[in-house]
Amino acid sequence: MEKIAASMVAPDSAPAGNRTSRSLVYGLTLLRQFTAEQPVRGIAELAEILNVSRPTAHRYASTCLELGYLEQAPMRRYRLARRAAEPGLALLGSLPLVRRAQPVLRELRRRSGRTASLATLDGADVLYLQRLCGFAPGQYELDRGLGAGTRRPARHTAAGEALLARSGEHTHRPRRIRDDGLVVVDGGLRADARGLAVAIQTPGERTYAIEATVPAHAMSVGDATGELGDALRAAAAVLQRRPAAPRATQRVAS
Amino acid sequence: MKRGLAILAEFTPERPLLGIAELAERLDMSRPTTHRYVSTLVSLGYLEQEDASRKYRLALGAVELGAGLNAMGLCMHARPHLHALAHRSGQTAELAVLDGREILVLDRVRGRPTRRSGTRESVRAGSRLPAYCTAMGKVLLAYLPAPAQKRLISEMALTRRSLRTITSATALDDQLQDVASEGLAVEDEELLEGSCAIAAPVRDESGDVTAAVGLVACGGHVDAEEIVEHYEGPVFATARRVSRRIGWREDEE
Repeated sequence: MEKIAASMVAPDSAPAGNRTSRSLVYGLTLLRQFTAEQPVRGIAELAEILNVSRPTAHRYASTCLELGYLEQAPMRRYRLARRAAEPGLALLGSLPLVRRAQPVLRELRRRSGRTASLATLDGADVLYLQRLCGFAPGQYELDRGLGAGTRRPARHTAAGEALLARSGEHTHRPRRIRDDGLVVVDGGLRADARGLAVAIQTPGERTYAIEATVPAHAMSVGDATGELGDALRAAAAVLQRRPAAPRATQRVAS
Repeated sequence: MKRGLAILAEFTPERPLLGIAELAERLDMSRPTTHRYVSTLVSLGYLEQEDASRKYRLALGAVELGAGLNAMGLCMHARPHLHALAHRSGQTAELAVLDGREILVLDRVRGRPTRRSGTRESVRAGSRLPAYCTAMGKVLLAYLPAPAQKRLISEMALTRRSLRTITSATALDDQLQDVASEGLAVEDEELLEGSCAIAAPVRDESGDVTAAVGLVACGGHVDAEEIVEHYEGPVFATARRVSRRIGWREDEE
């Protein structure tokens, strides 16, 4: 939690002392102000959020621009550039299960037309590492503003619940987990979203969950857990298997 | 700050674990300075230390650095490129995704004000159009996996909208195969008389086609062949730029 607080709010709350680079704290805090709700920002508002003078905010923004993390938007404002996604992509590329999950998520989306995502626990939160938006009716609007990096309290979403159940942390409150390991949660990512998730645990790696998200009005719980639930469990089973045998990998890709 | 971000950029899938000494050497920095930046990155959740080797690797916070970018939505990413296409061509540039049997128009940029109140002028961002008789719709259908494409087409009424609307599932299927092999869809007065369009696929980070960029010409004399000839290149280029912007990497195809 502490690290979220440090990077989400003004840098004053970041660790102090000469072992910390304040300019780096400011720079990263500045980058974190560009969100789905506020994708474009100007110097005045950034200065206010960071609680620094406008010339200082301008200096940080210019450095980010120069390094390719920000780009210029109309009216002398700024938005994130592609480069900002690179550390995240580098992390995902170095996690073996995430790499193996890519073709599986893709196949899940292709078959079901639903948004397929991969998530993991980060403290009390669930963090979505990948989201592939579906093409079935209502999926685009449901997924708007959500993407890799979306964070929610773990108890609020299907993937979070599946992860908590697997980590043995669900002792109070009856959870919506079924005998077959499928978790169904409504309204987690968005009021009208229904999430279905299954956790995946492989030795030596963190626990992940794959989730399919559907518009709640489009599919009854029964229908959702039927065909889509089967597809999700099949996808999880593929990932659950140890990757050693090349033949198994081929089956995944086909 | 520059050096801190440079440290972050040193971590790649091929080089996921780095120690202070290695980082200091690669970036030509002193070890104490490197250590200071690294501990800042650790305290903010962008790096973490591996217990066994005492080396550092990217932490989950790294994903969040790009969260705003991922959450911006297709529209924001495509907007500058649609503007460029519209202004250079003088025609209307559009962006759409598939939403079941229909396409959802996410954005629409006019290159120049049309004198005649053009036939497609009622289309707005947020409009829905049938997929089978629009260029963007045909692109989006063409790249669907075969079972999904078949299922969707079987659910479509294929209503005649103009003289040239494709109303036979077989003919549509044939044309979609051509679209998939050529990467370009042509709408030749199929939605409305006096309106032609071409469209090309936009791919996301997985390599799948998830959106389409279209160029619509309407009002006056329109000729589909001329539109292909003039604007095929710019439409392809725009679709590729938008794809790259949302994370598609050409080398992976």
